[in-house]
Amino acid sequence: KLTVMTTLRAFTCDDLFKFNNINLDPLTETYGIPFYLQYLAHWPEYFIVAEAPGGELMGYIMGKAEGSVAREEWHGHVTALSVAPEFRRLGLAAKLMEMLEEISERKGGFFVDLFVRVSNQVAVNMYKQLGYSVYRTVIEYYSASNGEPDEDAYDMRKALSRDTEKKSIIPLPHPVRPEDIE
Amino acid sequence: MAARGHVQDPNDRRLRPIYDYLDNGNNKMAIQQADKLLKKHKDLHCAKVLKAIGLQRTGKQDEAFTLAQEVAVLEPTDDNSLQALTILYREMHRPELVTKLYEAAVRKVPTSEEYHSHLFMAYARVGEYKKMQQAGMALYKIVPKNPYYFWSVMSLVMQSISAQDEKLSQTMFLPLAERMVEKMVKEEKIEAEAEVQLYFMILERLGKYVEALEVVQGPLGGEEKTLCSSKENSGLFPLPEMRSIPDDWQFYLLYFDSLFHLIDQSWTPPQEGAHSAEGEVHASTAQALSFMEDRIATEEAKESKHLRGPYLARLELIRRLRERSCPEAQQLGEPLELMFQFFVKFGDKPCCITDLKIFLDLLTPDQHVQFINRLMEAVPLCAPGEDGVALPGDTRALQRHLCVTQLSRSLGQQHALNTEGKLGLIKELKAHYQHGLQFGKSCLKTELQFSDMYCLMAAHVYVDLWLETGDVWGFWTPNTSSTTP
Repeated sequence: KLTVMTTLRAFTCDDLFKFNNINLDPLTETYGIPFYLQYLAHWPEYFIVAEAPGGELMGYIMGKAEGSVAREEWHGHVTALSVAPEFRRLGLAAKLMEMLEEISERKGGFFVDLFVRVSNQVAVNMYKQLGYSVYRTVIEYYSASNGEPDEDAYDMRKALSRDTEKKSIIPLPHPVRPEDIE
Repeated sequence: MAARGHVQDPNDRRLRPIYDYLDNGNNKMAIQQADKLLKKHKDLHCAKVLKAIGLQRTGKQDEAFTLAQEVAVLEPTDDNSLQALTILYREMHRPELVTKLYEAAVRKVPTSEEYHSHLFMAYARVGEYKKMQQAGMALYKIVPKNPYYFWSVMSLVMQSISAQDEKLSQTMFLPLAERMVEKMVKEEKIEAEAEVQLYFMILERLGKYVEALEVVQGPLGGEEKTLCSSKENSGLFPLPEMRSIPDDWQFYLLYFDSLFHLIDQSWTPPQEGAHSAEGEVHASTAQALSFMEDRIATEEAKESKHLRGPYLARLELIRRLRERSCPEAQQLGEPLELMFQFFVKFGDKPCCITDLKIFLDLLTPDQHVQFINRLMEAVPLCAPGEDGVALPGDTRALQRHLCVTQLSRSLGQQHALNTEGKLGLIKELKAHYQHGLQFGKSCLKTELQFSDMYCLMAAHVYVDLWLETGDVWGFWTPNTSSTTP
């Protein structure tokens, strides 16, 4: 299946000092330390890193579970997923997504969703291959840092087994703004 | 990828511009804006705090502090003020003031999950473990989410670790923590791997190794079976697990650790009955060798999609046997040959470089040249052009060539060249870079080009030259390509 050959383990605080080879990439966001620590504190099971035999970090996924069960909106969310260039084409991103989906299934989530830049063709195609579809567009979700225009995001979703009628992935007919997201 | 919001978006539109000024480092404008706002709405507390942040950042600590205290004394409960004060106190390195802030907030709004959560974090910043324990449980009472409960348990463990009195640690803190976890286990509320790890940590610290082993081998175990190699345990490694694990480097390492640990202890299997709960246990070099050979044979028999694990594990075993001066190391093969074979199989993947780098020390110095030559021979290159440089015909060949070049650098061959040699190397690397760009015409500008690493390597060689000679050797001359990074 996948020629991954890695150690997949829980991300730790110390890994923040070792992830430059993954994060120094134009399409990977680097957040403030408190952001990462919040995820480690609240959703440790969703924060997984792959380590290569030589000790380098290969890639990681960071996620959470949120939403109302009553409104059938309880779901897993991919906050960040990134693989270092030297460890691409090994099926690692797919493996990490698979793990996040499994955890979300175990928690009884209805679907998994994520945000991705509309211009990031490579990522959009990868997620489509993994069974995700565009649910809605979020206008100016990504704010640019320096005079460049803000960029829209696709909110992509994949239904899990609890959503038997696959209602959660019926696309919205119109885009939304960041303020409108729950 | 989640968007990187600066601060939490203030739900007050009027404050937005002040936040933006602060984020962009424009403290003067932030203060001005805040003053303007305060003239019209003198009770807009958050604006005062934001002004204080601006003052603090321009070095006016005392003024900032006084202003902030005007707001703090009122014990605010609006999100914006609380967050802004937190930011200010942290920049002033006064984390204890944040605890006061949220203590007041939860007194006024005792059902707020958010304030209790912030209070817990505030205590964590100052290491007040006992208060953390209480805050965690208070949180859990409001909203019974597992993390909150286990934050409380962890705080108990922290109290145990930092206790001056070891007895207190063993007779009070740890047993209490243990009981708390047992309660969750009994009620079948364990959800996350981290919770099981915490349980294991507590049992280990109590010296209850048998119970710890039982936890891991029981239904809670799951992926944690690997934790079996603690000191007091005989480090039995469950062999059957190896076959079902697809390809995890950690397992191979633990296997070797356990194996040699057992050998050193002269462990022998019991005459009758199972070796361990999981099956056969390896405790001799011979068993390790045959296990390794089995794994390799299984990989070789596959038609496609070979796993890298077994091949690298074999090299690791050779290294460990050599370290222990075991002659059996030779039975596994000659490292140079094995690494060459690995390159043939996986050389077109970028990870081949980092994989093989670890084992370069298995080669003797006089094998280096031979090794690189053999690898290069296995790279399919087209006939050399006028400049004498043989170039790859597709991206796979390019990656292979890149791999050999990088390994050559790792072995120090590039450093060993004299100035002329280095300049020639740079010319060659540039040629490879330029040529390789054709394969990446359809790449987006946010993607790496296939040949980018050549350019990077050329830059490194320039730096090497500068370090040696003090001259910059035309380093700053732009490449002719318009996509030069």
